[in-house]
Amino acid sequence: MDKKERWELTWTLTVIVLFAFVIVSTFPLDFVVGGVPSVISELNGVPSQKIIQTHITSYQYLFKINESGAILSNELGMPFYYNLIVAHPGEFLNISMTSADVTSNFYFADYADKVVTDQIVPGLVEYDVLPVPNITGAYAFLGGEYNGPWYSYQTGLLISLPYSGYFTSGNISKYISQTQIAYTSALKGDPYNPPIVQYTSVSNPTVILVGDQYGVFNKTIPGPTIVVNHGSTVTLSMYMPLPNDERNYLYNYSASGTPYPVTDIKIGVYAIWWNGTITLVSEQPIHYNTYQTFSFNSTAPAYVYGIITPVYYNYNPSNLSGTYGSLIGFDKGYIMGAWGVILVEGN
Amino acid sequence: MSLKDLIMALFQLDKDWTTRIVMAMLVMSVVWGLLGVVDSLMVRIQETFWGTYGILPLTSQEYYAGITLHAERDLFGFAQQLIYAIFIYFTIKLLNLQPRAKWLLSLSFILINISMMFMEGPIVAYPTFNDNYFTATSWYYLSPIGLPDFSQYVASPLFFIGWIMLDAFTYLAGVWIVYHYYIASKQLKEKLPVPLVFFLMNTLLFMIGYSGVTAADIWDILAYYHVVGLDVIANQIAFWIFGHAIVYMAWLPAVGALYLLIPTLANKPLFSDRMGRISALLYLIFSNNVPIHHLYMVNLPVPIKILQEVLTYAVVVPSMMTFLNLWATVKGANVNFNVITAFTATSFAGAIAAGVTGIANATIAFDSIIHNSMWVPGHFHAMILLSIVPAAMAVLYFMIPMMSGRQWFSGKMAWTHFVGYVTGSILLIMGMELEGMEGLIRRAEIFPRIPSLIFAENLATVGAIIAQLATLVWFLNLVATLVKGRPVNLEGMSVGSLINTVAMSLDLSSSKLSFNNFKKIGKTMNSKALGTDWVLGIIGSLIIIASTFPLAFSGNTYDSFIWAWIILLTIGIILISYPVLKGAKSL
Repeated sequence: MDKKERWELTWTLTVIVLFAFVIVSTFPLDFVVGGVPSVISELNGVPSQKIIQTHITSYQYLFKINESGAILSNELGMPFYYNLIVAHPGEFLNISMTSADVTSNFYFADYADKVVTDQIVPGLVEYDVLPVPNITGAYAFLGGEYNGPWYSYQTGLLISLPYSGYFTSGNISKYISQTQIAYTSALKGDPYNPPIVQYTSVSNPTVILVGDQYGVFNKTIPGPTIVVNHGSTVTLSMYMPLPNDERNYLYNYSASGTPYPVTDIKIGVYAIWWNGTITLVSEQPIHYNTYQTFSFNSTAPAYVYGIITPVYYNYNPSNLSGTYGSLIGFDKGYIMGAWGVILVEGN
Repeated sequence: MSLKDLIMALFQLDKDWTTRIVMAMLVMSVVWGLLGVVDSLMVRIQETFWGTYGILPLTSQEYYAGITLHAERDLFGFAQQLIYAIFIYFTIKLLNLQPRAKWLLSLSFILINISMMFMEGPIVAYPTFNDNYFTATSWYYLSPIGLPDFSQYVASPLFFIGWIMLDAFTYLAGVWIVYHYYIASKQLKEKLPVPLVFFLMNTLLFMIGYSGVTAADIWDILAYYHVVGLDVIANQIAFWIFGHAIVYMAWLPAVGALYLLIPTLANKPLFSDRMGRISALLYLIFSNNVPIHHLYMVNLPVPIKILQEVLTYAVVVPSMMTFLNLWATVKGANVNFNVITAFTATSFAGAIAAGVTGIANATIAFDSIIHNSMWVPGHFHAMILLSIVPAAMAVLYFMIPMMSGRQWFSGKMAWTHFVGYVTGSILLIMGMELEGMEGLIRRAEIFPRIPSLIFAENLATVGAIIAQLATLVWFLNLVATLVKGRPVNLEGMSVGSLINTVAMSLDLSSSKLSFNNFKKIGKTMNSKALGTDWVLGIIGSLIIIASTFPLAFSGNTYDSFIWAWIILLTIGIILISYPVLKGAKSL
């Protein structure tokens, strides 16, 4: 073997040794990532009362979430939530995931706690375990795999809710601080958390949320997270301009291909209770170009506001999809864009 | 100059038929490339406007169609067509062959360019102009998106038919190239030079890699019309056989170009000819059987994921061998700095910089953090923009004068192109990687309007615009060269002499040049029999086709079918790799 060949061999073997080191050192992690059933080992030693059995069904373009155990999902009498997960700090979500249509992904990007990303492939079941953040607050999760033109709207919130009572000011401060850091620095928190607006210095705040031409509040999906004091009378005023172009999921098409703004939907305020039940506070049919005002006394630990049920969308200008069918294509789906949460601070 | 003269100059209609077809492929690849650049600009505009102003200038359909068509046009219409054109040209010119089967090459050329039109999907001109039915499936299509009854968003079947046409191009043109290597192998008295080994190996890689997507395409179109059902995960695994291999299909021509250019520009023989050949063999064996590393975050058996991790690392080994080989070749050489050298050096350095992030991505644990984030497009854009395209440019800078017999119109424009392109590409990639580190998912049209992301998006957009303007300068220089470039007699010159002669006109310092005589290959004997090596290659192809059946029957993959699939696929690849390369006098 000449000198040149020794160089070649040494170099190649060095590379192989380095790779072997990486493979061996990361080997244990391979069994707790990627949606495999063995992730259940992360729940070893966790008391059963701390575990929430969670099933996520992905649709174009939303998540439907069933919870049982420490939390029982119940949204206005239905046994599931749309784009919401409710849990308490220190609990664990034992998650299974399926898709109702195309390939999707569940992505929880909280770099301060744990990043979860699982591909949800039709025909398969994905598994994961998600520890609920110890700092109470609203944490974003989203569809991380492109699944159609309204993909960006598939965003939800995990609400880490106090077991009892309200969000403490100390916890709110930590939550805001962590979120602000995530906005400016990489790998520090959940950058997808909506902007947080505090009304805690006002005893009876008036909160104004203005929709834009894309059918979202304040240019964020979900809308801003509002913080108010416990026991205050909150006046929530929501304004949605008349949808008038194709960039708005509230601008729909009739079977004959005529565009129209969606009107058979409701906008309102809904209370989220400690056991996970969501109940109606107040709602109205949507009226565009009008401030729709809701007043309530903040007695629940959290609220969800806006249009909290999905809007069916069907793109069909000049009845092109109706006339030519799949030859030209379809663009349909269920979309939520104008919604957000209110956290109630108290001692 | 009349229009006729312009067309004559652009398409080199006064040359032999191989040159004419190759030139037509080059022209069409540039056309698709520029259209793809416009698509990418639409994407950048949408993201920058959303981040900076909270405005979406385009509809979601237009934005996602922009992403889809940017990829289809730039990756296939431009890159693949350009790569094939280069392979075809050098196969004939360097092997000194009399080309055959003109009809096959002409048909292939037509197919790839029609496929690009089909992939666009329909544009409605009447009663109201509407391009919102453009295909919007992301760069590929992750089955079952776009299929009726599986997906709420349904793409036109033209998109899938376009894919099948692209598959047909790959095989017809691939067979044409391999056939000519076969003819050459019967006449050669010596081994093929390493760059040609890479060109042959890469053609085989295309044909093996496309087996997966061809199976997926046929399955999808049958499912589209409800002829058969669909096992989504099997379909996706089949697709990713291609989806990963495309990275190497696109990059290995650059490696082949580096094996040609670096010894030539350094005026030194390759450090290790044997290591170059072994690298080519290892690339071919390990590039096509790692689809599951794109599916690490899917509930598939952990042992097969770990096997894929090991096999993915294995494909890095020939890269490391190549880097040592090329670095050792150029070490101590007195290299003149010209545009060709500059692009060659950029391609070499860019491959290392971009490749490192690829190694990280191949690790299951790391992928669980960055999966689907902008980090991933950052990685492959770095690979494309800092390694693949620079190598292609280095080749084009000597290939255009070689084909047209004209020197580049302007050296200054060439340098403007280099500086602008590299600067812009680096800024674009930095922006994408910053977005990825911030956790931004790829294809995020509406994203948090936070300072770090707004900065990264704008940085990427500024970089893209600089790189695109620089590419426009290159395009203008190209047209001016074909029309008004100074005539130069390069006939009969060896490739090494030709490269250095062209490089001299693009030299920064105008220093004296050295020449490396990379001569055309000699020929002696002629045998018509199909040897054992080639027969084994054909058997390997049949085994690869057979491997799709256990994959299709693998259900949720927690069964023995998935292992039968990977074993058969690997055996098929090995049967093609070693015997065919040996039969073609490459090893």
